[in-house]
Amino acid sequence: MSEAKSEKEATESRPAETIEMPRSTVWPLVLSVGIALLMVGIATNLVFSVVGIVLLFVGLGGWIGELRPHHGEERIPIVDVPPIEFAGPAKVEGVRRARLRLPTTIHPISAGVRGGIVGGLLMPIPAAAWSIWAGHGIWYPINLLAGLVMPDLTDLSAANLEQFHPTYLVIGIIIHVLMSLVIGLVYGVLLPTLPSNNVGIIIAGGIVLPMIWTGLCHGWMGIVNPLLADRVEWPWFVVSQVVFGLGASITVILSERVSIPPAEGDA
Amino acid sequence: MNSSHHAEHANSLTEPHRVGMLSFLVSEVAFFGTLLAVYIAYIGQTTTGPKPDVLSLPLAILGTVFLVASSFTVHFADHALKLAKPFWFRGWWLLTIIFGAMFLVVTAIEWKGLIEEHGLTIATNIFGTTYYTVVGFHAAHLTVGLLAMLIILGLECSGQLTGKNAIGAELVSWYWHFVDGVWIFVFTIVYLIGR
Amino acid sequence: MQSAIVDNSTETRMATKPPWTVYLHDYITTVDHKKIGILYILMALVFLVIGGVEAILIRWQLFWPRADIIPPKLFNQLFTMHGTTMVFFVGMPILIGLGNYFVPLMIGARDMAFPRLNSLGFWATFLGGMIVYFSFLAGDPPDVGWFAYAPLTEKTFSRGIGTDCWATGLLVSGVGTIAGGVNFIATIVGLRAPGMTIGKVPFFVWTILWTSAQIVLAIPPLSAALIMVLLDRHLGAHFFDPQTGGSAYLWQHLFWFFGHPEVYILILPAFGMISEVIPVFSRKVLFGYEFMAAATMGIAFISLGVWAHHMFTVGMSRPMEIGFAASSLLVSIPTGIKMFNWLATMQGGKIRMDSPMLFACGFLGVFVFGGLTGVMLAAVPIDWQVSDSYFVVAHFHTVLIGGTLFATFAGLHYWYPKMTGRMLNERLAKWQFWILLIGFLLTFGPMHISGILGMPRRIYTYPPDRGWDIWNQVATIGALIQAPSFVLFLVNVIGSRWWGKPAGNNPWNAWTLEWATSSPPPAYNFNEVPVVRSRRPLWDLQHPEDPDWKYEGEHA
Ligand SMILES: [Cu+2]
Repeated sequence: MSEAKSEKEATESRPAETIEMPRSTVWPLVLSVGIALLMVGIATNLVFSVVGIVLLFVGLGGWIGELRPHHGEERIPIVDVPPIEFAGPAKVEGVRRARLRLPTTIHPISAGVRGGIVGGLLMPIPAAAWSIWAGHGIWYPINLLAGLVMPDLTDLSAANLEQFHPTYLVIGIIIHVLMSLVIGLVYGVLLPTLPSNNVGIIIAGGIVLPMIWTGLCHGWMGIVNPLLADRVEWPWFVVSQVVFGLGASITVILSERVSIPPAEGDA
Repeated sequence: MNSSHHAEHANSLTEPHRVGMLSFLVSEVAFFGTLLAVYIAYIGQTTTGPKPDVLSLPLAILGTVFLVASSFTVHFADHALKLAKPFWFRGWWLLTIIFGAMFLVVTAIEWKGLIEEHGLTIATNIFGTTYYTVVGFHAAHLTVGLLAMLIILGLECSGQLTGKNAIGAELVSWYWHFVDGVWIFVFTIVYLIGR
Repeated sequence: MQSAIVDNSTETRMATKPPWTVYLHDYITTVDHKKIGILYILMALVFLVIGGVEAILIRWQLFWPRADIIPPKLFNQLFTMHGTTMVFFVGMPILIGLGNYFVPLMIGARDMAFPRLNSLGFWATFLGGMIVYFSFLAGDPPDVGWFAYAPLTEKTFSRGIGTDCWATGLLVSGVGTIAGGVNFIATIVGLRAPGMTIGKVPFFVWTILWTSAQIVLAIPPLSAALIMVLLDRHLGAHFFDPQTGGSAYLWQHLFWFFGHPEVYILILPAFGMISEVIPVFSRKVLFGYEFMAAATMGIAFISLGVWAHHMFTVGMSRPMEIGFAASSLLVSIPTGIKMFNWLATMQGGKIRMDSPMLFACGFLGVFVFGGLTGVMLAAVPIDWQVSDSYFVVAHFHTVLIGGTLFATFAGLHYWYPKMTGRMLNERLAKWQFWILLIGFLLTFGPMHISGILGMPRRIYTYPPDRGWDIWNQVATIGALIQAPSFVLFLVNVIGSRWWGKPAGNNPWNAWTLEWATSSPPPAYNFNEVPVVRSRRPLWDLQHPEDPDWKYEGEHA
């Protein structure tokens, strides 16, 4: 709507003595009583319906009469409305500074993705260390990971799972890279909601989020792939996740904070 | 109410009367959509009594021709009114009313045949139930449309289709187009697919 | 000065004192959206009392196992009428009534787009209620349940007048509801004040717009289905009679295609009122307006595609089950967005716990609870287990009372000063809130348990050896505790009308246009049609040095 139009609007409707408003009328009521009686007749006796139809047309006729020019309107005088008050009996100031609370500087989302890459590179170390220490060999964890999308893998024997399978290696790496990037992205997006000091970020990103993630995996893996759930050593799973989380968090802390452009401060 | 406010979008789709008519037509779409969905659900479910093959395709096509023609005439009428040619408006408008009435006559002839020759009523079987409901409600809407057209014609002839009422003819023509559109669906589903 | 104005008008009235018939005639023939809004609200309050009495009778019968205070047939009639009343003659009218009063004010219009149609809408709604209740006079109220499953509604099983009154009454009130929906859409799309783009409407207006869209899409299918019932009963048609080729299952599809959107018709305006109250009483703008708006739209659309979750126990194909369960679960996403945005609006705000805010906070707590049991019920196996038990009853009462009722009370307490020019009594309001909350929790908390224990709904009594007694007794006590809270409300509403503190134009220091005119507003609402530049026009007036449009302008 153009500025000129609204100006015109304002001048046109200014202190006229009267305003044209639709006049009170009984015809809509008559019409609806007609409809109602028509229906009541169906439930009781058709005589009511006949009366209803008559009323319906009477109401309709009256209504159309109101639509004729200068028939359905009246001009009513304007009462002087007092100016707007900004505070009534309960006087309260608005909280001006809290239009919307946003930190002025944040770590960029890209820092989260980089954190995901670092965490993803670090994470295989504890996983492989555990696997070798437990006597499963280095390929065991990656085969288990591939088992997430390859259900037939769970049919393999434990011994077979410890061997090198090129397809599973490729699939496992793809899953690992994708998950690291996605979770890194989640870190990046969540960053503005995390505490702004470094210790807070390490606690939230290095411990709380890995624990939530582990909980989710623990809960869901039994449904997605029950056989696999049996083979996962949860303490070591936690350790791997925490290593990922710490790696990601520290990368984030090391990144440069950027300030939010003021234009983003939407109401 | 506020005349300048109205004048401002007199020709736009956000004009309240147009919005109101459109949303009313949407509710009518939902209504007929339900009736037609029920009709489709019961196609081929009839086990006893007359089946859809008793319907007369030639009569239905005749009715369709009348209705499609009336959609054109009502458009011409509305156009003539906007060009301030009252004579042409009345002519086209009256022709639309005649076409609409002809459609109702065709429907009446078909129903008479169905009832007297084939013994098909709403209570006969599920086909009769759904057929008379769908076609009957369409015919009822058409009748309401004819009534509205007569009212508009009356207002125009008495010189009262002016000012804020001028949009009335356009809105009634929208309703008429809608009723025609519904018939196209009814014709396709009842007479072509369901037969 | 403000109080002087109010007193003045009161005095004038006292002085001239026209007979009561003048008021009656005035209200019966009115086309003023404010008076029609008040008529809707009064109608809803009367039916609320009636529906409440029916609920108390039901709970009374269920206090002891094997009680026979109320015979089975009457019990069926009571729960049918209770459900029908609360949904069609309390819930929708009170929301449409508040919308009627405040939508034109909030968008700076002088009235609804079609004032006479508005009058028709109210009278059709009201007369519809009268027709349904006429069945009581005729001695045969409907006993088919509020969703009236076929073939119970066929002539074979319902020989009396009850089902006819039920169907015709709902048809007539449906005409009124559709008229209201069409009117709202035309008003909101076509009559906004200059400068108020559709992205700047107050949030309540936005929710009324989408509720109206749902009304327009969902009520006509119900009307069609009701007509089919009447055709079956009176012209011997066969729509829902399985013995002659019809399908009882079809009724369920048709009814729930209406029935599910109906619950969103009842909750979206509630969301809207909460979204008005929380910002004003937190002294902050609504957090994430755009997300809230999109979520409202999302809910309105998703809700059209979830209806068969009411029919899981009837049986359907596996893909249908998964599809309807998934779409039902999907609703929780936009609803969750809203929840978090309300909390974010409150966070860091300067919160004032006046009665509207108290009810809004009650809403936040209780509605989450009801929403969570809704998520549970959307899962097909859980639904199979607890469908048609008191668990379901507990769920939908939690969302309808915890959601719609609490929010409506928030709205009524918020807007009462505008409607009457008087403040409600805060003490009474707070007592009302706490009594209602405690009674509510006691009534519906235990129903979750008796439901999980297997107690079926809609049975007039229960055996004593199932462990259900205690939960029913607590629930009945809860209902008796709730009852006085409604009495307090009515006392407050009636009493404050005459003895309340004068309110002034803007008692809450709020920001939307309804507060920019006198309380109650004159017939034409505004002397001058206001020009709007942001979502908080009164804030802009109040803070010319820091107006909202500086922040909204770019992308709103
Ligand atoms: Cu539902």
